[in-house]
Amino acid sequence: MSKQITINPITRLEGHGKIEIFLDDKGNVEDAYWQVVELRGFEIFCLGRPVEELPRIMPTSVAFVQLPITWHP
Amino acid sequence: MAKPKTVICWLGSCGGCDEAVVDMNEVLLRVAAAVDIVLWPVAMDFKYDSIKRMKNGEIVLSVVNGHVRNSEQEEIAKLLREKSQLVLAFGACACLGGTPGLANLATKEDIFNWVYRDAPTVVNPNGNYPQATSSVNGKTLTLPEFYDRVYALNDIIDVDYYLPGCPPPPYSVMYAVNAVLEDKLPPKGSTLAPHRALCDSCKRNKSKPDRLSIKEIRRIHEVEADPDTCFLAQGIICLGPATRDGCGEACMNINLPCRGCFGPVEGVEDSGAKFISAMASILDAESDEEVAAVVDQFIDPAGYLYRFSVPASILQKSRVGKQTTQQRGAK
Repeated sequence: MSKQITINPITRLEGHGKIEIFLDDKGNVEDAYWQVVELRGFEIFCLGRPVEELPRIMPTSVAFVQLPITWHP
Repeated sequence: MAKPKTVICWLGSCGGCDEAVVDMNEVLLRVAAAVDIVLWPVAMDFKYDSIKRMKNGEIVLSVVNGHVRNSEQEEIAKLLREKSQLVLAFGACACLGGTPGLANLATKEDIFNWVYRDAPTVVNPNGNYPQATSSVNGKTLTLPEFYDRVYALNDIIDVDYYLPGCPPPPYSVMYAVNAVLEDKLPPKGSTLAPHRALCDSCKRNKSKPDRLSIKEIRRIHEVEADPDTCFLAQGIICLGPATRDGCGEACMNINLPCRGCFGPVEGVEDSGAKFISAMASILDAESDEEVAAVVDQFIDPAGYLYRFSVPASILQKSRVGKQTTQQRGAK
């Protein structure tokens, strides 16, 4: 009997994803898929914004690379 | 006595709010000792299923950051609401929709067409778009349904408390945590930040002339802003008058004007409208032509005034027409 294992959410990393693992009758991995489950659309909503504001908009795509503003004075 | 079960969870989020929690530094160790964290995707290995098995109300506090834009985020928000005694909307996205809320100025179709088809860096010869259900090699895969717009958390579930900021500063996080642990919470629905405007605590306030007036608007790269003088007095857009205090002036301190991440002041529904009202009163222009000249310098008002709050704003309610990718590009 084939079996499906879902790992959701993927943890201890920055980002949103899940993993689907499909096992065959013998319990071996037949197929595995990693899926990104999120879209926000920075690609479009940055268009038309003043370019000097982008260093303050783009870091919120991934805050671990937040450069211009820091809470550590 | 069992330690109170606590969740720190992100929905549509960048991770900055989780980092703000970590920025409590050593205090985090005390918090971790006082509570039992049962879900914190960025830092600990618990799955949603373990929450589903819990009794309703078993979780004392869920700290939820990020906005809601897809069906999975909605499901998690509702699951945490059901299982939690208290839900704290943490950060600008959960409170107001956040920067990704700017996507509400475009349609879902615009976003998909640009991101998966039209953007110059995209290679997608088969024109594949993400599907809620798809079949690959005979296997069925599912993705959350992408909604038409971004929602703030309280559009989806009942929220008990709000902690704004992008991200909330560590001391306000500690204040919120202590308020829960010591059972000293203000009335339900409160925003855990001062009720006054940022200008009221801004160190630059004393540099503000008695009668503030501006003849022209200047962009931040066009002038070398004086680090001690009120930005508005220098003709630079600063949302201080219309924004809630409590950020610790993180941006001011590095000579950047406020963009409103703490949202509107207590009792104000829409900080953008509030700012335009303030702006109108300080405009030094006599004729209609002079007014028009200054207004023309105010490029991208939606991006300045609703940087963090389109989904929660009156702008959202009037829904900015059907702006297509093409029109935006041409502009």
